[in-house]
Amino acid sequence: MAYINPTPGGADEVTLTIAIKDNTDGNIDVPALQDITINNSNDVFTWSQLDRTAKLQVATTSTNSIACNIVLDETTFFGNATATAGSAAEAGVLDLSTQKTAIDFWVNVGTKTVSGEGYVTGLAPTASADAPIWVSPITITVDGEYTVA
Amino acid sequence: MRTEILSYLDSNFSVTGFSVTEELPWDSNGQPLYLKNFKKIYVDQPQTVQEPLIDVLNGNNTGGGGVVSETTTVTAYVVTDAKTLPENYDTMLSTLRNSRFATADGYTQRTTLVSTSFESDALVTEFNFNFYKVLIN
Repeated sequence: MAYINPTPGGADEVTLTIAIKDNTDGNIDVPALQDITINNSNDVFTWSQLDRTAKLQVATTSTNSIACNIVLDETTFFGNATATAGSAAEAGVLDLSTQKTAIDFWVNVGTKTVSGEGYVTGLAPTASADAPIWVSPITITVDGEYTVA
Repeated sequence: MRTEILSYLDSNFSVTGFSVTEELPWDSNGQPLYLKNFKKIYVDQPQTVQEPLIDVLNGNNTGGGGVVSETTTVTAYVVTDAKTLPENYDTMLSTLRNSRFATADGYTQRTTLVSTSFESDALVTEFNFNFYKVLIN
């Protein structure tokens, strides 16, 4: 057994890195991830046959996405003016979403890395009186397949 | 926080018959000072509790960190005769309750809890001033 037990600060720490597609000069290591979900949802084609008492199904194409909740960090959310020009770090997460910028992403899962291409979507920053700190969901809508390395 | 409350009381507390002391409510022969000195307000040292508010997965090396809720509690004591309440007892209560306004910056909430108990012929009135803030790790 080798359960994946990510330890903050350890080699197997959960990380989400975002770069503008084909441009890894200034990546964003998204800080303060509250949770992260790697979605791989297959569509299913279903049919019936007269000689079978149960429906038959086959998996077809999948819809992939990464869903997280984050605590907002001003530098990574709104961008860092001193970062490499034209980089994700300069743009910030919000700008990548509003500009519909194509991105590359990497998620560290134990000793493996799940990566792919996609778009930042689903931002909904919120703060409340009970928890006066800005948090937001963030979804990376994946364009195509995951790559596991 | 004790300093701020004493400073607030120094500027705002003026109730005939009651006074504020800067002494801590230490025990003398097993008895707290406030039980010996009626109508003297003693302010104790602050007690602090921190509890996780938001935990994060990548807390140490990527610039982010968890969020902590910190509560600081300062307790004040005043003792009066239990048989006959002093004339200005209610005024003292309402004035001392406002000590939660001693400080504002950085605090998300300030509350006062007032409770009473009896020690022989003495009425011990206890004020708990709670100050809440959020810390980033």
